Amino acid sequence: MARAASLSHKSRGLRSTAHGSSACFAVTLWAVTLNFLIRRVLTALLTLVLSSALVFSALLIVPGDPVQLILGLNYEPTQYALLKTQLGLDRPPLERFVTWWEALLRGDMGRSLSLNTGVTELVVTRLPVTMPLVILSSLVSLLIAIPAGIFAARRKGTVFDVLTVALTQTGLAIPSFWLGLMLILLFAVTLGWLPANGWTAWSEDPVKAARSLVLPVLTLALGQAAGLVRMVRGSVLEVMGLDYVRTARSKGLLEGLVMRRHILRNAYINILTLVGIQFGQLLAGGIVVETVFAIPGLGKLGLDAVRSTDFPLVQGVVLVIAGLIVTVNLIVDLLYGTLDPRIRYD
Amino acid sequence: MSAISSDSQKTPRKLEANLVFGLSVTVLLVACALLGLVWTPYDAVEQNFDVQLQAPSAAYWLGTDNLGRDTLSRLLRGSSTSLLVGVVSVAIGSSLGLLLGALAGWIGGLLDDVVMRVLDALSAFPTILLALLIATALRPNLWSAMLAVGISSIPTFARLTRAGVLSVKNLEYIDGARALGARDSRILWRHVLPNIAAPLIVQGTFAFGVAILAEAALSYLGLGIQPAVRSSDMISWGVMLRDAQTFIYSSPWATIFPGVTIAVTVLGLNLLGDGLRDRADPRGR
Repeated sequence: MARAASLSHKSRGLRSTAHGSSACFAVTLWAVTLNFLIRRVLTALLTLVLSSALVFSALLIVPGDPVQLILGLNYEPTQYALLKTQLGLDRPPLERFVTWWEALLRGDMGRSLSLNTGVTELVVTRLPVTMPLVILSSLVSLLIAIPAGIFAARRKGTVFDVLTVALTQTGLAIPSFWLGLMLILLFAVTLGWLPANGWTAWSEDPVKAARSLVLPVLTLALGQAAGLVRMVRGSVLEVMGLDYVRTARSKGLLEGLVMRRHILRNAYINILTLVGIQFGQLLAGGIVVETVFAIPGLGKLGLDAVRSTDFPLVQGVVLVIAGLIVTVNLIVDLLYGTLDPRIRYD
Repeated sequence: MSAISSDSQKTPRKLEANLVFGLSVTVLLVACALLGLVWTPYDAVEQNFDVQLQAPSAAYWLGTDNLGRDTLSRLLRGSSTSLLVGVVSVAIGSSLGLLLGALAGWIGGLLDDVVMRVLDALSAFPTILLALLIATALRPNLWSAMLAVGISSIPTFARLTRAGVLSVKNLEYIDGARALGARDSRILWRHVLPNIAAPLIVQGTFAFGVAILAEAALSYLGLGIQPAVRSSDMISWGVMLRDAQTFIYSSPWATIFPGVTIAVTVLGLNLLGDGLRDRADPRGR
């Protein structure tokens, strides 16, 4: 409501200064859009820098000596000196942060201590494992949540609605890894339809690869759908209560038409932001699901790195995931601004 | 008029169900946590190879795990851990969130911008990423998990506090307090906080459930509490599930009960949060 009010106020202001000149109005509109684009990109960059600072500080919060933490009890003095230089701990933190960023801009995230390979290389080889899982889960969860949410909103207060809300409440309380275990118990242990765990490359055996992805995708998607259904339902209900919907009804439009043309079209724009929000949650949830199903993706890489106190690798994995989240959110925000002109004025 | 009165009669009764269920589960959790500290049917850590992977029976109500340890005893001890994790994580998140949110809202200007941008960046950061970093630096343990979960909840508490402070900051009774010579810290503590306490308490209840869920996941991944070795060690529901997964073919029981326990606990806390929210703001729903 506040958004709509400020919009009408602004457009009134524009019109009075432009004296009805449409060319002038278009220029102003374009300036507003450009302003919106620049502001959004700058915010994303700032978030990226702040996230990288957070990732960088992991080495700073080690109580005591990080080199000793990594090497354990038995080590040679030369080893100690070498690792200290490799981690840059012989230089002040701020200088290190700058060199680290310079390397990052070249796409260099340092060398893994435990695997003795470039971190960038390691992360890049795991992305084709993790991304299909995340993207498929995103699609499946939307396919479940959007119809269920719309249906529940249209039949608000009926048995179906109450049942949906109760199901989502339960879904939100169930740990995703346990949902995975229960799906394994049902589909792998009891029915024997699908493999309990493991992963196959698509190039190797597409059928086997698809079969091994069914349960992980279902686990991730169902957990995600619980939260999404509530948001879709809420968003549709919100739009249903707006003035223009009442106007559409009062001019005698058929309910189906009101739904399609006025309610859903506006609710879908809200749902688009959900895709951005859920992408981060899916990447994070993917780490858990990869562990449940023994999938060698980014999550496993990160967890193994924690186990071997491999700071550069942990930082690399976290940074790439955080970077992906920020990028997807930026794209979604820009699309959102394009689809819904009201946003640009905020 | 009749529609309104019948409506206001109907809704409270429905809301009470949330509250009653939520409160019962919470009371049960606290009771189990306290009981688990002083007494369990069997020793929750000591191994007994005569009774490995048993199905539920009269002697072992919820069965035993792969090392012959009673599942019920371990769940009881696990509830103490969950309660501790919930209390400490919420304490970390709410205290820092309150402080930052109050500062940002009360002082405003550049400080407000800086604090809120940093918190925006933090909230784009999933808990598990924070946990990966903290667990590498501090080694995975109870504290690394509680810190990661607590820090992740700071932005929500801070935003709520900031919004609350902004909404009452310019009201007359604040000016009145200032005119009487009260210092800022006193005004915030005595006059602002009580007015924004309700949403913070509701958020605290939700954060409690989130913390229990997150700790179980982190411990399952090996980023939190480690498997108990001595009798005094903490037992995590997440670790129980990790152990049980290996034996899912031979003993499904061991994977079922800890998960149901987590789900019921978190559901209870969420419903308690819903119930409290509806009580605090009946128009909300």
